[in-house]
Amino acid sequence: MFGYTGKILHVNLTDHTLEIEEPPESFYRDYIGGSLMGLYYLWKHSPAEIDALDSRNTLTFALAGPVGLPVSGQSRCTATCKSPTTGGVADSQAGGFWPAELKFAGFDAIVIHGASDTPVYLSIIDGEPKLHDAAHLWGKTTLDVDETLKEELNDKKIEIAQIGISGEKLANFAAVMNMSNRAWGRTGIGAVMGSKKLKAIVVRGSQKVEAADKKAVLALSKQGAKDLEPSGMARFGKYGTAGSVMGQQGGGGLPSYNWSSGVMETLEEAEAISGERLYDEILAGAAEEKQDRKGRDTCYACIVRCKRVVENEWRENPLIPEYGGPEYETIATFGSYCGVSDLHAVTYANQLCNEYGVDTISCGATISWAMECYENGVITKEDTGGIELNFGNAEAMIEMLKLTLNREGFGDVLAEGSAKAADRLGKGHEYLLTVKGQELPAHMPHVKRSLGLIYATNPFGADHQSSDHDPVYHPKLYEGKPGRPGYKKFLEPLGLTRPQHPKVLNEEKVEFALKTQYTFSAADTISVCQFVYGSSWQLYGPQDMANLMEMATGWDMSVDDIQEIGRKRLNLMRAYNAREGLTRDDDTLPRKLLTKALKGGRSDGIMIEEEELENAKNSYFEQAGWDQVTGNPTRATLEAVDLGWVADDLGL
Amino acid sequence: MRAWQAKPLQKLMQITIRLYGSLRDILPSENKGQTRLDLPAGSTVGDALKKVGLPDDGYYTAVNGENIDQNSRPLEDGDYVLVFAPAAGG
Ligand code: SF4
Repeated sequence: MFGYTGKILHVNLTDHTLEIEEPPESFYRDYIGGSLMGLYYLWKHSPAEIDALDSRNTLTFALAGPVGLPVSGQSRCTATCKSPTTGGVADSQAGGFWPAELKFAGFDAIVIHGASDTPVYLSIIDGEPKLHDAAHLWGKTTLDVDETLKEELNDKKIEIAQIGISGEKLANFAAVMNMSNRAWGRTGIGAVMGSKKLKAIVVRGSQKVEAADKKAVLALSKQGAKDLEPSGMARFGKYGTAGSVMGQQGGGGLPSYNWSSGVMETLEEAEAISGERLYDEILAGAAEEKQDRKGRDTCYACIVRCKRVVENEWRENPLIPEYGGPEYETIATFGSYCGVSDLHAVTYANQLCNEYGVDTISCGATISWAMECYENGVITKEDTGGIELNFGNAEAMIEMLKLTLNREGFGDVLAEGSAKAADRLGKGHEYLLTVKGQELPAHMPHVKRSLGLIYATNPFGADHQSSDHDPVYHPKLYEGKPGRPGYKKFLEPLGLTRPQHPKVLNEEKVEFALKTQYTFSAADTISVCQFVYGSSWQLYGPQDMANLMEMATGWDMSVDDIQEIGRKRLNLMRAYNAREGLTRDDDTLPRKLLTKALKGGRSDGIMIEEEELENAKNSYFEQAGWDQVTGNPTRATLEAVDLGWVADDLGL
Repeated sequence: MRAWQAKPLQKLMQITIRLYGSLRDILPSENKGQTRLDLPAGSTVGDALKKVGLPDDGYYTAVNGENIDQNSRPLEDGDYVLVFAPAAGG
């Protein structure tokens, strides 16, 4: 078999045993890898309706065929389990070097069962898995653990995935980190790993990934290098995701003051937290204008190099390069959500989150929720322990973040995430920004209407990387102009030929949301980076994703096959949620978005209309082949994606 | 012999344009996203976008701090145009 190692490691933490499964090629063809494979193990090995922190929750880290090949955007890994945040599926992707290194170490996936009584870590060195005592690592910050393990195993080149202190303390938004700056951030996976007392997974190996067509992989790689400049992806790499701050401000889509507005009050405040400012002033090497060399990092074999490396300080706290720099999402949640226009403080917040291992989106949004509660007198100085938690107060934000990461004082409440914190306090529900218990990411459905539909319905909660965003379907951007091709090139092969304005949510737009959701869903299964192979990013596209999968495995792959893979994964997720008791009623948006209009900027006065959302859901469920009342996949649809056994299990 | 006739000189105006995010690198890097443009009198926001090599619609624009919905809006000498690219994911 090409592309894969053919080996899946099962780790039973309850009795500290290891087992290697060697599934037939037919299994790989059916479940591919990444998210789809993780879902399969979750379904098969975890009983229905358990608590997410129950030892029977099955946690899988899975790759697919392309991972480890010498081409951009293939070093991705999905972590899957039941989510403590949403009660449905937990699913998150991370890049870096760890995914490729796991393949080199000899495995396509690690499936973790049970829970250990005492802290342990797992190492896989050149095909040899081993469990070790981790008592000495418990309570240590991520960089400290990285350094300790490199010394202990006497190898600087090991790659480490680990939970931080927040994962140990079961914070609802705990992440799993690698390189101390890449995160399996969303849906609380760090808390699940923490509940299993698994501190880290170390991987290292020298096994080569055998592609079915090596020459084609090299040719694709060369093509990417040629296209990097003309495609505009060089510019994306230069500013990273942070480069979109000003575009959001200009469009009224920069969530500010806990989503009361789509703009920071002044242009200067937005500029102060922009990706340009980050590049000019905070990236390592900025003083000598050497940011492109020193201030950027990458994932294994990726020429885009979109990751930030910072070197500076905030109020005498060093901003350490190893912790990376903030992505757009982090700038928004700790910056604009909190009304904070101090980019150094935001960068420091990012560092603290990476040091303790939490999702910067949910954590920042939980603090902005607390700020709105404070501004409205719902919580007071007595609750916060004297911290004046007003919007714009960078010191207060950092203070509260530290308490949250250490679960001290009011921070212990906030570590539950905003939805559970509101329940615990019995107040503040009107300011929540959560769907299925998870905080919204930083793209606003007010100005990108189809995102509202995806935020409401997505199986693992509101997500901005589960479908493409409306502007790419704007008629002008779709068409492009001579010399600057539009998004049509990538969207047309998906069957998307009816471009629409960003602020409409009609049937055509629902089709756009669902079909691009299949593409993104496929990327998370085939384990490739959406910035490189997604439908609106211009280095490669869905056709290249199909080609790469074919080059890696030797299996015939077309864009339609890619879409089918994405569809199958989405259906299995949705079916899993149905098994866990979620229904259409859980597919909604925060009350705040449905009852309060935004103030200021280009989105002034805009509110999400509930009727529009419900109509879009009807159309979406119909197009997806799901039941209108429950929103769950029907037997016919499950059978159409080769998941008849799932329909049997559900008694459909 | 026909008298030589002077063509009336085309009237020019000068505006400042600022491009945000990764758009700023369309201009030479020392410009940091900002430049002056000479445009024929009566040019529109869309013309300014075209002049820097962008499609004339699909971007968010503002003139002298005011958001613009129609890029057919005419510009005046001394105007300050801001251009923001809509963001996809990330
Ligand atoms: S585009 Fe960025 S995130 Fe994606 S693989 Fe490349 S460096 Fe990593």
